[in-house]
Amino acid sequence: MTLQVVPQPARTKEELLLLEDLRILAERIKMVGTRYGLNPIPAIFTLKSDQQVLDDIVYAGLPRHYRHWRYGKRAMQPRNGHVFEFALNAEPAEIALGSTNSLVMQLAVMAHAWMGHAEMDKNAWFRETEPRSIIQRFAQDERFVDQLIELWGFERYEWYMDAAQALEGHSGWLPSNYDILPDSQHRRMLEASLPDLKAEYDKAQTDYDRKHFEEQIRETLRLLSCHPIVPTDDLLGFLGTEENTPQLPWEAHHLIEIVRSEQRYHQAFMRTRYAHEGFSHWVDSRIPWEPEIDLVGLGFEAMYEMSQIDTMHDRLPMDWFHDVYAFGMHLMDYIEQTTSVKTGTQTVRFRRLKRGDDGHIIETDTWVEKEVDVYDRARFYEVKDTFNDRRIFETFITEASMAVLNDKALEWVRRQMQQINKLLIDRGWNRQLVFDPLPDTLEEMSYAIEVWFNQRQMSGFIGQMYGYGAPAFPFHEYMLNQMLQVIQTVAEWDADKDGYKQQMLLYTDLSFAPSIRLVDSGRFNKTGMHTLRHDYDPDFGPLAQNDARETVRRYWRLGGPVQLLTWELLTDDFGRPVGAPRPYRYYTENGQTVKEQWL
Amino acid sequence: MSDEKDKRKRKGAKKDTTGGDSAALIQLMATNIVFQVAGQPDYLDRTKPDRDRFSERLKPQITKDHIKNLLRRGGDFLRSDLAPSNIFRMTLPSVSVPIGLGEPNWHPGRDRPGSGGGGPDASDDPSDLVYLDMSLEELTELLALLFDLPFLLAKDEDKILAFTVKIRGVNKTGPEARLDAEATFIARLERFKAVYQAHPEQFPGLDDDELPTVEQFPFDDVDLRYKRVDEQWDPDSKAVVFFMFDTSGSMSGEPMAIARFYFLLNLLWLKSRYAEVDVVLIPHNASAFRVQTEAEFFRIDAGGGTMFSPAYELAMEIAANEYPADVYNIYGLHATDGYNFEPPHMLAGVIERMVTAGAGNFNYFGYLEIDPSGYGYGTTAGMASINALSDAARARVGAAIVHSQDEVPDAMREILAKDTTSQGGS
Repeated sequence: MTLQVVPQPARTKEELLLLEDLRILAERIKMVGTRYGLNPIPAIFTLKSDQQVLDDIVYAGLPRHYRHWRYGKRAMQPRNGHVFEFALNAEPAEIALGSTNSLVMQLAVMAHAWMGHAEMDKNAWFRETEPRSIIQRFAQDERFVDQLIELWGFERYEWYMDAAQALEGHSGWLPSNYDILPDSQHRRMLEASLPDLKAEYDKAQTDYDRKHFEEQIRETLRLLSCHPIVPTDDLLGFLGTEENTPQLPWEAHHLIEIVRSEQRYHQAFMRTRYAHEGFSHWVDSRIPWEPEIDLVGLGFEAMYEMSQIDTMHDRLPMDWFHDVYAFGMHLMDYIEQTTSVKTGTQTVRFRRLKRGDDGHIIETDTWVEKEVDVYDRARFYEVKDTFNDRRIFETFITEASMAVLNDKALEWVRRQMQQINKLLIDRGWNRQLVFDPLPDTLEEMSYAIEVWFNQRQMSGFIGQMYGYGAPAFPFHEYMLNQMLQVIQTVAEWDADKDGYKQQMLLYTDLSFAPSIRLVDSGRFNKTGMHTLRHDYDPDFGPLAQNDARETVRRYWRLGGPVQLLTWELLTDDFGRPVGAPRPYRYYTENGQTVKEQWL
Repeated sequence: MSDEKDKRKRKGAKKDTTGGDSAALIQLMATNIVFQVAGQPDYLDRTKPDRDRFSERLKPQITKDHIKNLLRRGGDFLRSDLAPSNIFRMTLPSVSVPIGLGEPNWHPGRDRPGSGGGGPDASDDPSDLVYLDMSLEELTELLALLFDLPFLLAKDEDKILAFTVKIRGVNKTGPEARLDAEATFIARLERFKAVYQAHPEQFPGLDDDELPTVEQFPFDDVDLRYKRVDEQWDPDSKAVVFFMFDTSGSMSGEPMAIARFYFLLNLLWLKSRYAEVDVVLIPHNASAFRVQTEAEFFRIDAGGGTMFSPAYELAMEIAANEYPADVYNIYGLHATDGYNFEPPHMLAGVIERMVTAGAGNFNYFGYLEIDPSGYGYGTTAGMASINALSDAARARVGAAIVHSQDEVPDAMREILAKDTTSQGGS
């Protein structure tokens, strides 16, 4: 990259000093990162106010974005107040830092976003999203949409755009499978194979052979009657192709492509959420403590604040099992510890930092030398560079890795139980409520906590009724609840490890979207409508009816008459499911009325 | 026009959010390090066009039932910032559900039982709540549209006229007593600017942005400015309206919601017509008290026994102390279910006193009786006292009975149509 000369308008002195602080920190973060073997894409850090960050988050951080009312809705919904940072998967990476972060927090989030997210963006899953041109592409899309609105007006634009947005979850999975032949080519190949099969059939000597070739011919004819030949989950890709939907104006095809490419751009992150945040948290919990950063030089208060930031995602033990940061970091930690090898030591040299009277960072002339360990983390980085969440979960949620987590969580529960015992004895509660020695098995622990839970609720109730003289149980209900949840989670893992993994996968990997595939567009048969098939997943359950109805309505706008084949549960008068799911069909011919029937 | 404005804004956004020329960039190039630390770009609300479009799409979808439900919820859609900012914040459940934009949004789980077959149902998910900001005028328009209330929009008919003396602007001539010192001072400076532009050489020691002392540039007769006084029949004259809200136990439920709607309509009608109107809020059961904020008034709950006279007496007391009858037009509006513990003839006496010039000084008193079950048949103690009024007093009192929320606009019209007391107009 060549040196870019950028004009610098006059800024307040305070801001220039802050930028200089950040520059010093960024330089040192880069030093540590290089030592770790991390080489993230170049980054532009921009300080942004909370409101600016919140506005940007509406558009998933993209600095340019096309207009649509949906983003207005998102902006008007209540959202979290403070976002510390966000990083955009572009090249150079655009990283926004909350301008109200403290300096120590800036250090943590710069390491997190740059050495974590910007490094993770080199993951193989992101290659197809072309980060170099992403911002320009979105700028082009914005321009296109603006012109289209001027030309068409909102109503017509939204007619197509709403439909495309409704189907955005069905944009095909990354990476694209180029082994699947284009439909026309596949069709020509099958057609060409028919005369050969016919000849083989004629030549066949035995009934068995004849039957075999007859079956092959039938199968080929069946495939030829379908369009597309291979069912596709890329509904938008199919509808956005002019050949498949010649009735749509070319602008609509372009709108579909805009939505599809954005969805695929986000998909890369959505399917690596745990890896992304886990690795970034792993980085931000280590780099600030490295000697080159010189937290020691910045003073005790900085170290104290950093330790608080480090444990930000550890507040609740149940987060250790679910939270993208906490659980992600647990897995990353486990992978790192089991795969990396210490290969030697190395001396690092840096200038001592100190805080000036105005609180800003000063690089002193004192040079410090420190010896640090060197690790070979090739395997760990390979995981970071090539795995997505599904693969990480399937490979690394193992007996050994979960044992570490379960032990940690149960140890926490045990300590809380000790504490409760002590409190109960100290305050003279009934000795029957004290479980000493502490129970060993999960069942007994669960029993003890349930007893306490009841006491807690009863004491609260009595306190409310009678006021004075009814002491409150000396432990908070919420923490008792957490303890119970930990025990239940560990028990769940013990009982069904595979089921546990499946449940965990529901948190990531786009599992919120049902798998719906287009199996036929009705071009070469008498169906007369597009056929969508939903793959029933017992973990997900049947489709919500309203969503199914709306989905076929929106699909109709782009593809014409359509049916959605799925599975439904019979329910009794109280809404309770009866029996196994049965095939069910939603279909619409006019885009308004959605008809439904059991098959 | 608004499109053009949007476009200009987005043009601005282009420049700022890409962190290009306007942001200060400190660039560091070392061996293999490339990063920039940029300053804060100017804030620009880039979500505005989308929010506007969303509201535009959402507003036509709001139905009568929807507003009714909002009102029935007890007025908590009126935010506490209502009075100062003049903005209504309405919480509307997500677009997907109640108003039928029907955005599909996959999530594991089923529709709630009972929602199948019919139209889409309201969402319980708090993250699906959308806050729709709406100005008072918009809400008025919406209500007028939904409830067929043309009188809410008739802004050119000025009902209340009063002879007023007001200071409006400045004159170059006038009596000494009305000299406007500030305007005079400004006029001198303006003259100095003009002279300085033409002949800067006359002021050797002075800079362009410096203020001259009186010695350097003295006052002149042409600088003198006088306050201009306007005397006329003014439609913006002062009025005060007393809302008396029966919150006794018998009002709980539907009557409460109807009364709230009645007061809300009145409030909107007054605020959209008169620039300067004071509203005094008096909820009462067996005793009456005054609340300060509209939010508090609309959120009040039912309970207690019923006596009307404390509310009337309190209104008269406040009027006597704070709103002199020679300056203010005084109105009283009462909403109740009519079940009063006091004898009708006694209450009639109080009302007589209220609408008598020289006593209560009220120009007009409106009585709304809410009888959703229809058991009252207009024979309640409250209506009996209205019927017991003398003819002279009856001319200044309007009364109506409603059985449902839908009848409120008609009742309001009926009550106000009887008002022949206000000055001006015909």
